[in-house]
Amino acid sequence: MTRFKAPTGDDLAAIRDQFVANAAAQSISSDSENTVNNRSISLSKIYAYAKGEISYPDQKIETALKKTPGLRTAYRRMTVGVSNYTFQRAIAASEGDLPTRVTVGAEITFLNSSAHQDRIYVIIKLTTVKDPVPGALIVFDTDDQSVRIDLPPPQDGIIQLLVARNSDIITALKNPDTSVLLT
Amino acid sequence: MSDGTIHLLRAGAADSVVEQFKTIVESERFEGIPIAKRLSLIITGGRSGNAQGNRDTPIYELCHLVSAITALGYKEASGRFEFFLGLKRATTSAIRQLISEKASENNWPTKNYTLTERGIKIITPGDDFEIWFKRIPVLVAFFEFISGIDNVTFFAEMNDLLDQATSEPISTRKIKDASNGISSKLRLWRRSNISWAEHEEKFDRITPFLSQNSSDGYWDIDDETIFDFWSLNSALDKKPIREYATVFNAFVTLLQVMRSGSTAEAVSGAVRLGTDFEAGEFEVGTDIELVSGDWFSPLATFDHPNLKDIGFFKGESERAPIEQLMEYGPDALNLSHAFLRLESFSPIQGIISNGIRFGRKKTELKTAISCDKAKSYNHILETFRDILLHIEQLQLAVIYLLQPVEENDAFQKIEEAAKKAFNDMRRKGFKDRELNEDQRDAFLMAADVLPTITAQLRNFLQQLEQQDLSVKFDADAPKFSKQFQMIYGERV
Repeated sequence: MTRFKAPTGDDLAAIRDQFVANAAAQSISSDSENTVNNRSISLSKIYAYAKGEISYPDQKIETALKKTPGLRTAYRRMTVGVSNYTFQRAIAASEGDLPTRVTVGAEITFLNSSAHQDRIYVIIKLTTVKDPVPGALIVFDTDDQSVRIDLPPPQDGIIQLLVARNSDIITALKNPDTSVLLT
Repeated sequence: MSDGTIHLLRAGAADSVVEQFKTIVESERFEGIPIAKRLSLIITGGRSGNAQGNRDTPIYELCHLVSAITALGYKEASGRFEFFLGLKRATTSAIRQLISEKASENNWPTKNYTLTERGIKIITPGDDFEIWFKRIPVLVAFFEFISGIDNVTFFAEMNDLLDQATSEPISTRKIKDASNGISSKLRLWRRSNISWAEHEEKFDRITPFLSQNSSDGYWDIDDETIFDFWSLNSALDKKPIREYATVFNAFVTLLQVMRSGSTAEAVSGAVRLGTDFEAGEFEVGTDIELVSGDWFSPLATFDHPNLKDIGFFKGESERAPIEQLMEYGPDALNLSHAFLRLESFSPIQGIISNGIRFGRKKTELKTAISCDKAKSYNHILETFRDILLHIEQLQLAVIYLLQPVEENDAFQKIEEAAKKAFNDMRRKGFKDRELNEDQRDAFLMAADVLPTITAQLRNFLQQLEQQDLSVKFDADAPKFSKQFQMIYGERV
């Protein structure tokens, strides 16, 4: 048998608070063991996604990002943290044109493909090559919605890729209010 | 908004809390690390063992850890993300190694930070503050959890607070300010996201019961108290507490709270740790051994990925029967008869309530209510004895695998038995004596917890050896049957 002096007043209130907190903790633990369907995505997984350790696009993560503004903000902050080059908003070009983006150590320009009318070259010039070399280009809009594209390795400090003119990445890059990160 | 709507909202919120919690504790980086109990207590502001400090102390610890890792080179938000979210395996040993390497790279000790045998010491003009390596995994999990609260909307604010806390020159004041900012948010979050009502109800039912049954101003809690309370409350018309397991759990929680050092202080009338939560200020005790005295199930270690591939336990026959005994630890020993009732009759109650829910045949339900199929106490003890024998052999086989390279008297005495146990152990992972590094680590982890399991089993068996369990079971079965009839009879 265990005996305790029966608490009263403030002491009883303190014990009640503690009991309730401990019992609630136990409920969370046991409910978690009994939960089968789980839609939640951990932030460590989002961080791995920002680092490119999970291949893009991951449907479950993209759906969660689309639905949860707070998660998008977190993802953006994480991506900024792992990027070597950050391009802020561009100077507006004439409507429909792709504005050149410039930041310290890098520049992004665009060139129409003469062979394919429906395609466009994205040319990234790395004037200062940082380690690790960028493996992806990510565009964030003002609502933290993002589009990402994997990059080939640079050749003599130039990364060049051919993309469809009507692709999401080009649409995002046309908007001067978006910011661009190379990670 | 009606009370009903509020309740639904809270229930919905609580579901997402559980999902967020589950995602973290079951993620690969925490696999096999027993953080669930500790993290859940931090989230709700609970406390166990000889925990010192108040419910905000873990936040203060976290902010100190953030300042320490900043000094280790994990600078600004990107550094924090790398440390707290980028760790692939958040084990104590991995963290110890990482921090030791970083400390060496950053020429520690410095004026403000040093490494000790147990962890990181933060030197401040007032008090020194130490964060133990074994505490850091749960703080890493806590960082991840709190960053995700309120649909991740707190993420940005929290990181802004931590940026301020780690801006040069770092000071205790700045760390306290960040702690207070996070604590204040967490308090609001707890109020709207955790369902407190059902637990308040249990407390408000149990404590008057204890007081009414006390003649000398003391609360007495034993096996019969639990049974009597359940008998009185399980068949009420209004708000019954039907499940015996719920009642057993509630009493164990109460005992843990009553025993905890901080509450003991409160009961004795000494100054309570923790000051005015609402004012957003708090002071922290100098002893930060927050969880060392806590019991957690030693079986959780066997969920570690490196141990899963070794045939320590057969799930159904060797692990499942001792899960609860290991979960409740010392409390199962203190309440051994109540615990046997839990093992024997709680599964029967589960069959009845599930049977009613899923519309099973009345004959099946009546058979369950009769308790004829309840596991007898002797049967439970026999199972425990068999498992104890198996674990003793496991221990010897593990000792044989990890035997010291140098001559050792203690080992020589058991060498023959250890060799035999190893040779007889026809299980996966026990065939080859040559171990790679991962396998050796796995067996070392097992060697660490197997003695706790055997001790718990032995103590429980010894406690019940002198008792006539047949008589006890024969007396209990009709009592439970009668109570089940009262609770469920009308629906069967």
